Amino acid sequence: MLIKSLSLKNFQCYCGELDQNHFCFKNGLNLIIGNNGNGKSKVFDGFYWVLYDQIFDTDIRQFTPTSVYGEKLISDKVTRNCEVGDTATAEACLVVESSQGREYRLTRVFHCTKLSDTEWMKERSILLIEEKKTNRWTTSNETPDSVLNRVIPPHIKPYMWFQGEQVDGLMDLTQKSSLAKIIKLLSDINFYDELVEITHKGAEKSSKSLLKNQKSLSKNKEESDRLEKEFNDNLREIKNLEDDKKLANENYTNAQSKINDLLNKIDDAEEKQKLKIERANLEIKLKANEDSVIEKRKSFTSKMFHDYWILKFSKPSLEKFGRKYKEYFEKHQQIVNQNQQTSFKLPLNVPQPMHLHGMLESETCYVCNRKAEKGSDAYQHIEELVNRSSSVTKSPFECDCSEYYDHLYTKSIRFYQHIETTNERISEQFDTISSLEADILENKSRLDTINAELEGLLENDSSEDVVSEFRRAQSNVERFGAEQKDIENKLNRLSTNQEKIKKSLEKLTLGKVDLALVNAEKVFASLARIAKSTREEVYTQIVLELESKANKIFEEMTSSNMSFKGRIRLKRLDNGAYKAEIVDQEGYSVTGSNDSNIVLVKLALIMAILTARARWSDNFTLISDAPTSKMAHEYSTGFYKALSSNFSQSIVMTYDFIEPEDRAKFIMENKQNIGSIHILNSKYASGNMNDRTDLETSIEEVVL
Amino acid sequence: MRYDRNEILRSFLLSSALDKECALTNDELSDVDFSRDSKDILIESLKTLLIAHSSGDGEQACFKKVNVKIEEMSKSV
Amino acid sequence: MNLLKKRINSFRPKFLQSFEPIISRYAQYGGGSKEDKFNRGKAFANVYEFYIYAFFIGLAKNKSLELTSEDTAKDFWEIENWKPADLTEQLIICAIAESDFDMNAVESMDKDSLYKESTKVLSTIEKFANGGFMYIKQKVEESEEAAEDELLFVNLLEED
Repeated sequence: MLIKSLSLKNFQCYCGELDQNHFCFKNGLNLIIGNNGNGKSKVFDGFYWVLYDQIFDTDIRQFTPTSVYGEKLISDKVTRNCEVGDTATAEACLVVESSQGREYRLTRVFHCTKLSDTEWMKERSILLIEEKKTNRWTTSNETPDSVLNRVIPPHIKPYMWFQGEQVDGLMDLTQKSSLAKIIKLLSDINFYDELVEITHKGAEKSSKSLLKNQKSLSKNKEESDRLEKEFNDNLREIKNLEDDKKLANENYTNAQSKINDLLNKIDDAEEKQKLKIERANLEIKLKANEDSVIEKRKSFTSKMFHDYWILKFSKPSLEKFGRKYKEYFEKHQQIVNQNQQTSFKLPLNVPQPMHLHGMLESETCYVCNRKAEKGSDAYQHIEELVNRSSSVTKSPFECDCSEYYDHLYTKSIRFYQHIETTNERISEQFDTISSLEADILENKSRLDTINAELEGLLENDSSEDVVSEFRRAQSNVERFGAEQKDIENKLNRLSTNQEKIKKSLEKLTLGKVDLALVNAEKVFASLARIAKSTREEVYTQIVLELESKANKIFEEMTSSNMSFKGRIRLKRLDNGAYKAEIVDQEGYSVTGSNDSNIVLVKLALIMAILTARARWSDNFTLISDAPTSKMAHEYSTGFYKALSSNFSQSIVMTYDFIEPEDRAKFIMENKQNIGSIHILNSKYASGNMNDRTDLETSIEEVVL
Repeated sequence: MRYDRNEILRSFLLSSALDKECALTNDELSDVDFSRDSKDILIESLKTLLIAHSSGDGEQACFKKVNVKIEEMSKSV
Repeated sequence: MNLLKKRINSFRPKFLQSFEPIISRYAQYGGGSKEDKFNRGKAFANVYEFYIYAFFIGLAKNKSLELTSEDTAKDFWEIENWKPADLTEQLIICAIAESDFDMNAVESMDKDSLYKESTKVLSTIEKFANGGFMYIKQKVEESEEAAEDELLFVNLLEED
C-alpha cells in the first residue's frame, strides 16, 4: 500500500493537533527537508510508531516499545504543562491506500497520567484501524496484522524503511552471507531450496524401498543383506564427505579472500596492478593447459582402440596369418581346379569375363601381352577360361570359407602401413603432452615468482606479521585445493560403488520387482538432480539480474559525477556464496573507493533487490531518514533521481536542498518526479534556546 | 498457494538438467503445462510435486502424492 | 552367412574368475559414456574392450595362460557385439594365425567337426587374453603407483 498522509498530535517535538502537524504525500519522491534537530527523525519515528508501537531511542540507539519509552514520547511542551492527575495524549495517524483504491486510516493513541513531578502512569497504546467506505470512515473488520502487513510486509520492511546509519548493517559487503541472506529473503529461491531437500530425501527413501523389495526377492539373502549394509554405510560416508566438501570449499574461499585482502594492503598500486594482471592471465593459461592435458590423457585409452595403437606389436601375427592364408589358398585352389577337371591355376573370375571377351576380340593376351590369334593354342586357352566361368559345377566343399578368409586377409594387410606409423603417432601424442606439461611448469614457476614479488611489495609496506600471514594463506589455498580434489575423487568412487551394488542386487533378484518401485527410484533420482541444477540456474539468474539492475541504478546515481566510480560485480565464491565488490574496466577489484561510492553501491544493491523481482517498488513506499548523510552532494542528487525513477513512492527525510536556490534548481530539473516537499522549521516560542521544552516544529508544504 | 507454480514449472522446463533426464523433445517440452497430460512419467511426477508443495503440503504428503502418480503411470504401461 | 564366420561370431570367450577384481577395477561394467568412464576412474568403457586389450598385450609380451576344464571361468558377451568391429577382426586374424586351426580342413568338415576345430581359435583367444590379464595383474600388484596411473595401459604397451 502507498502512504497518503501522516499526522502527528503532541508526538515528540510535534506539539499541537493532528491537523497542525500534517504531511500530505503523493506518488513520486516526497522530501521532508530540515536541519539537524528540526524533527526529521521524529517523522520517521512517527511511521514506525503507528505500525510497530516502538520508538527509536537515540540514547541507547535501538528501538524501544512504547510501554518502556513512556512519557518521553509525548511532546515536552505538553507534559511540562500537565498538573498531577492530568492525562497527556500523543497520537499519530497514517492514511494509506491499496492498489485497489481501498483507503485505511491507522491511528495510534497513547495516554499518560502524571502521578508526580517524576512519575507517570503509562497506558498501553491503542491502535485503531478504519476503512473508508462510501466516504465515511468505519472500523475495519480485518485483523490488525492483515492490514499492517499490507502497509509494509515484515520481511521487506528492513530494506524499505531504514535510517541512513542502518545501511551499512543492511548490506555488509565484507560478509559473504549478506547477499545470500537478502536474496533468500526477497526472492522465491526458498521454494527451490525446499524442493532440493524434498527430492533428495525422496531419492534416498525410494532407493531404500527398492533395495528392500529386491532383498525380499533375493536368491541369496545373506549376500543381499551384506550388500544392503554396504550401500547404507556408503550413504553415510557420502553424507560425511559432502559436509567435508562444504567445509573445504569454505576454507578455500576464506584463504583466497585472505590473500586478496592482504594484497589490497599494498601501497604501490601500479606495480601491484601489473603483477595482478599478469597473475590473472597466467592462471587462465595454466587452467587451459591443465584442462588440455586432462583431455589428452582421457583420449589415450580411446586412441588405443580407435587409432589402433593396440596393434603395435601384432604385425608378426598378421604376417603369419598372411602366410597361412597363402598356403590355404593354394590348397583350396588345387581342390577347386581338380573339381573342374582343368589345370587352371587362376581362380574363377580371374581374369573377369569382360576382360576375357576383350582378349578374344583383340586376339591378344592381356596377361603376357602376346598375340593370341584365332585358332592358336593361346586363343583356345582363353576360350576355355570363358567357358569355365559359365559352367556350373557343384562345390567340392562342405563349407567354402574362401570368401571369409579373403575378407580377413584383405583386412589384415590394410593395417600393415598403419602399424608402421603407430610409434610415430604415439610419440606425437606424448610429445604434445610433454610440451603442455613443460608450459605448465613454466607458468607455475612464473606464478611463484609473481607471488614472491607481491610478497616483497607487502614486506615493503607492511609488518612481518602481514607477510607471514600471506604465506600462510597461500599454503592454505594449496592445502584446501588438494583437499577439495581428494574429496571429489572419493565421492566419485563411492558413487561408482553404489551403482555396482545396485546392479549386484538386481542380479540376485528372483522374480519380478515391483515396477512402481523401480520407476520411483529412477524418477526421484532424476528429480533430485533436476531440482539441484534448476536451483543453481535460477539463483545464478537472480544474481545476474541483480547485478545488472544494481549497475543500472548505480549508473543513474553517479551520472553527474565524473570521478572514477567503477562497476558493481557480484562475484561467485568457491563456497557458492556471492561477494559484492566494485571493479574497474578490466574487472579487477578496486580498493580505496571513497565512502560515498560504498554507500551508493549498497543503496544500489538494496534498490536493485527491491525492484528486480516481485514489484515491491511499485506497491510499497520506501521511507528513509537521512540516507545521503555520508554522500557527497553530487551523489545525493543522483540518488534522488534513481529513487524517483525506480519507486512508485518514496519518502525521504533529509537536510539536502536546505538552501532555497538548491531546492529551486532540484525542483526545476525533477518536477515530474516530485510528489511533495515539506520544510521543517524549528523555533523556540519564547526565545529561550536553552529550554528544550520551548522548541516547536512547524511544517511548511512547498507549492510545486 | 505459496508460490506461482506456473513460473516455477517454467524454470524447471528450461533447465539443462531436465533436458538431459527427460525423454521428451524440446517441442514436446514447450507444450507442457498443468492442464495437459504429457504422458511422461518424469514430467507428470514433477508437476505433481510442484502442485503439492506450492499448495503447502508437507514432505510426507508430497512423497505420497508423487508415489501415487508413479504407481498410476507404472500400471498403465 | 558362412558357417565358420557364424561360429566364430558366436564365441563367448572366458576369463578366469580370479581376474574379476582387476576387470571390475578398470572396466566399466554395463558400458557408459566416455565422460562417465573417465569420471569413474575406469580405463575401459566395458569388459570386452579390456578383453581385447588383454589379448593383444598377451600376444605382444608372449604371455599365455590356457584355460582348462577345471578352471572357474566367466564369459560375458558374443564376439559379434564387440566394437570396433575391424579391431575385433584383427583379434580373430591373430588368433587364427597363432593357433593350429586348419583353414583347409574345416572346408570339408561337417558342422560338428567344424565347431570342434574352430574351438582351437577360441582357445587361442582365451589363452592370450588370460595371459594378458595375468601380466597386467602382476604389474598392478608390483606397484600401486603404477596401478593408479591413468596412463597405465598405454605405458604397458610402450614398455619393451
